[in-house]
Amino acid sequence: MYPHERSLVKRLANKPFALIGVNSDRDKAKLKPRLEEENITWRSFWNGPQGTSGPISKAWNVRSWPTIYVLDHKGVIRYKNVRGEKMDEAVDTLLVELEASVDPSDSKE
Amino acid sequence: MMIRILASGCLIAFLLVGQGVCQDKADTKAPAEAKQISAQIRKISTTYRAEDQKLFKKFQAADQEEKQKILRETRPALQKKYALQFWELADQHRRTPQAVQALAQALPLNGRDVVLKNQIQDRLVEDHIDDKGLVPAISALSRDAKILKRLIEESKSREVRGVASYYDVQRLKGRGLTEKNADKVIPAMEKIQKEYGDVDLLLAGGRSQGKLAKLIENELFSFRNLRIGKEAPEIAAADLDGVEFKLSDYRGKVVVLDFWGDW
Repeated sequence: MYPHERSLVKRLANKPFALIGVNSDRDKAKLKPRLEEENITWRSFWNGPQGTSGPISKAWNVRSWPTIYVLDHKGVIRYKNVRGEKMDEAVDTLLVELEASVDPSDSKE
Repeated sequence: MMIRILASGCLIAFLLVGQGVCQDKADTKAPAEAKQISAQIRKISTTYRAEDQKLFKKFQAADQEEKQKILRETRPALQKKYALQFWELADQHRRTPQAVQALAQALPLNGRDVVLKNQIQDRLVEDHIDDKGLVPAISALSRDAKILKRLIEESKSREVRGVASYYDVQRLKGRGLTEKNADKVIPAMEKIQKEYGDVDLLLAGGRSQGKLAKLIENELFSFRNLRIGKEAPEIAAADLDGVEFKLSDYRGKVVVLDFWGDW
């Protein structure tokens, strides 16, 4: 997963896009050096010391890892569990949609 | 006779569990005998798992043709052998809590023998329909819609009726709760929450998956809030550096939310 995520983040660095993680490792201290090793620059919520039984994944009923949600600029869930190219396409579609919606007549957003 | 049962019960319990078991439980015949049967069940299941593990190793090393043979013949035969051992034990001690445990373990091991499968199912229903000890076996019985219906309509045990209703709704739901089946499924789910919410969903082996009310609440929450087209529920928590932030801080951006772990 990491290489794809890295390239997505890099490719869209100047776009209104964010990759947000919910990390479910129990041991944050062990994870820290891994973030550097793998060049994981994106921000993650921490699911807490209970790991995969932590409060965030519980609230979202996550039962398999990784689980992916793609949200549009309004915070609406638009895609679930898209991987690889499918994820790129989903994000690109939503970015086009976002650009199209940013015009003077839609200033309420 | 009684002494022999007690003696062998102690021996098996001793071998499996360790010391100190015999003195405190041997005061009446019933608990000692129950312990002996439980020990036998454990022994059969341990032996089965070990043999199945061995077979799995053989499977991994096998060529394609042999793999097929193991899947089609060797493994079903192995499973059936142990299903029969469970069956015989249950048959000797009908209507005991140990019998239901043995039958529940036998059912998934029927080795594609439909006659044996039906025999085990019928016995479970016939002898244990009113027994809450049946609950961990209901998952294995739930492939049969008629059996579920009978448990729901006829069981005198609330636990059995509740868990059978829960599996019945799973059938109704098919691959999942969708806008198409919601009209039928949601009222059925809410009915179970109301009538059997406090019942535990016990799995084979007796571990609880949770209370029915909570399990259903989770499913309904997913359907109502985590579906495509729904506004994502807020997340407000600390990041890996301990700094609090919110998912909604990223409104105005396209967001990929990735539940991940470094494993």
